Amino acid sequence: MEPRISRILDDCLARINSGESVAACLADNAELRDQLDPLLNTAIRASALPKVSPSIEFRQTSRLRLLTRLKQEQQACNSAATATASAGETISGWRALWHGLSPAKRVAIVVAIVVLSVLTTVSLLPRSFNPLYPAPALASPCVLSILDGSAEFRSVTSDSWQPCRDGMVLQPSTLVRTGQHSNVILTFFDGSTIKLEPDTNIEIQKIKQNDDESADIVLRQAVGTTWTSVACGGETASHYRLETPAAVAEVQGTLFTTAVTKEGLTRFEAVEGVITVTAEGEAVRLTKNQLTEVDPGRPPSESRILPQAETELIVTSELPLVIAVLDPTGASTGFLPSGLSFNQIKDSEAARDPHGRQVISIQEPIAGEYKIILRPVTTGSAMVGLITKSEGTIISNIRRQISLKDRNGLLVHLDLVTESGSIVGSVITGLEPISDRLLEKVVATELAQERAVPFRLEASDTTNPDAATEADRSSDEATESSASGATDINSEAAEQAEAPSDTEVDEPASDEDATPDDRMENNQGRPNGRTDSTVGSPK
Amino acid sequence: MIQQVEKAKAGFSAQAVELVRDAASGDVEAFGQLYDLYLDKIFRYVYYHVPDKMAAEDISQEVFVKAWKAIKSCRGREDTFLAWLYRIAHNLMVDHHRRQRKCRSLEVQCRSKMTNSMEATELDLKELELVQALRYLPEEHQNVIILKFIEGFSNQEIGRMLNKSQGAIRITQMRALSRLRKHLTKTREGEDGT
Repeated sequence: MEPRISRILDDCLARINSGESVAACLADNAELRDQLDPLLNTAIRASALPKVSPSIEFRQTSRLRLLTRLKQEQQACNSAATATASAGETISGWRALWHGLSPAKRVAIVVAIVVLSVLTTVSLLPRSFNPLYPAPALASPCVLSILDGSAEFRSVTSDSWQPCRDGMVLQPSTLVRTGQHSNVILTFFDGSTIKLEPDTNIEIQKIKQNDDESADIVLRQAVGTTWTSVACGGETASHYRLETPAAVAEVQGTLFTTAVTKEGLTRFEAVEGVITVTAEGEAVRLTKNQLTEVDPGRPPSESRILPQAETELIVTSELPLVIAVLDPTGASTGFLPSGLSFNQIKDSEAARDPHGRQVISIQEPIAGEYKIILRPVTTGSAMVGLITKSEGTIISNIRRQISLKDRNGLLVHLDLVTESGSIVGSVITGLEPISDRLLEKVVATELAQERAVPFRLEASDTTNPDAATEADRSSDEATESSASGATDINSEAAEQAEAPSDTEVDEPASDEDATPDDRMENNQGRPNGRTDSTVGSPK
Repeated sequence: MIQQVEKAKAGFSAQAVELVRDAASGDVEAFGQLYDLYLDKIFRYVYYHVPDKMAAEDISQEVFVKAWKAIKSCRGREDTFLAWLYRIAHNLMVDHHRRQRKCRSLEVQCRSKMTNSMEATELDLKELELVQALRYLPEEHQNVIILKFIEGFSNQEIGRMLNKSQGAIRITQMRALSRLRKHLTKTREGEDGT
């Protein structure tokens, strides 16, 4: 009911804004007149508030103060750069001294410098680079992870293929191909990933880190299907270019699928972000949920909307639990408590809101065993949801309050059964603790870790109308991702019964003591339908 | 008729995009022009949240200081600059409220009372009643009322700033207006002695 009235109210406001009268709007919605009339009048009154401004004194002095401060900071930065330049002059003085030394003395000095440098560098290196503390290759241009099956690689200048090893580092000018029933992930230094499905062949043409830490990545996909997640954190989004026999796609901060047949017919599907597909001098721009197809030698087809997924698996959680999902191929999508996010499952999306609520959605999930991993930020309990949908119908909707009494995570085994493309059932087949094991094949690059926003439990966290617990999804208008990287998933359910009820606040006895803050603290809306059965961590 | 308020996005002209681009490249003067363009908007947004005009001025300035420090992240996204500024303002106000909860000093309360009397000379009685009622709303409701009805943003724009869906904005709008209405009615009943 609330969503319907809110829409009607919004429509009336738009009509009034364009010149219609309140009476006309109320006449068209006679059955809601009693509800709409006071709201419309309040809105009109709020719109009529005068435009207050800062004081004249503040306006005059603040600009000057601000710009002076900014210029001083800028000069401080420039001074540091000047100091570097003057060091160059000192170097030429030392050159003159060096040429005056005997050869034997020069050799002795060089050896001493080299030994000192090695010892100093090794001790100062962060552990991730330090050979004394072996660690995953976080700073490597590209790391290959084998999810299942096998893959081979070769240099572009060589003819012989060699087997890939899990965790190996790949350089530009390398070709990779996956075998039948094989899936592989390539992780780039900026956190971007590309999943290669079975019988896929790609070439890594270029991997470059720019000064602003953004990446320039160029790949060529000859055949097969890939799922790409391009990182968009930090100051500048990475530039990612994927070439196929038929077209070239340029992307920034995107999730998309690329399928290339043996004949070179290419299909691009954008799940998130923007892709520009160019072929034969013409370009097509894809935004969320759009696709284009390209025949070799022809321009890209006009963009069209992706058909709605027939089936969907949705997993939701809230703090203090952080979720990730592992699919039957070994690919994973979700989050770690450090805030690191990853998206390796084709047609999946993972979103978190500022309150730490997370939603992972997988369109057209394949049948098989899924592993749902729950990791605690701190001990406590949280509502976890598991929903499967098929042709618009909810097949299962499991909601449980999960309580973790220690820092061990919980692994939920979920068996998903499909028949003729429809989900017919989902069964939880097991629960086990996972301690601090990392089951996901996630390569935590330094850049991605730096950009990650850790999950933190705020004392003042309260529920809000955008609760990520869903019972249904509507096709509402899309919103773009914010600068922090969090994506708001549009959901009619967020507007409905699962949203916290707008409970009345008890007014304090005295208006003198009443503050907006007191009211905020008193407003503890609770979503309906929560079951508070506690499931402790199995021993 | 609802006042035809200035649309921020329409005001976000090609000139503004150019200014953001220049500022992101380190041009302090360009940033100064952005300050001139948007100080009022940010001030109003903050002002309707905090019951203290001087605090609102301080917070507004701090918004721009923080914006300057992170302005390089606007490269390639110049048209989201204003939404991004509002986001900074929102975060600073959350911090402000937290600090206020911890430190309810006499000085702050006195400043509030002083500001209220200053406000009384700027706004007529009905407007003052509405502003004070607005401040009693939960923060989320305040945001939507201010951005929609005072600043004139669309639901989509507000959704971007607050990281919410348009559907959620519509619902919040309805709830906010309902709450505001109830508050105003209670106040009037209190004055009438009913």
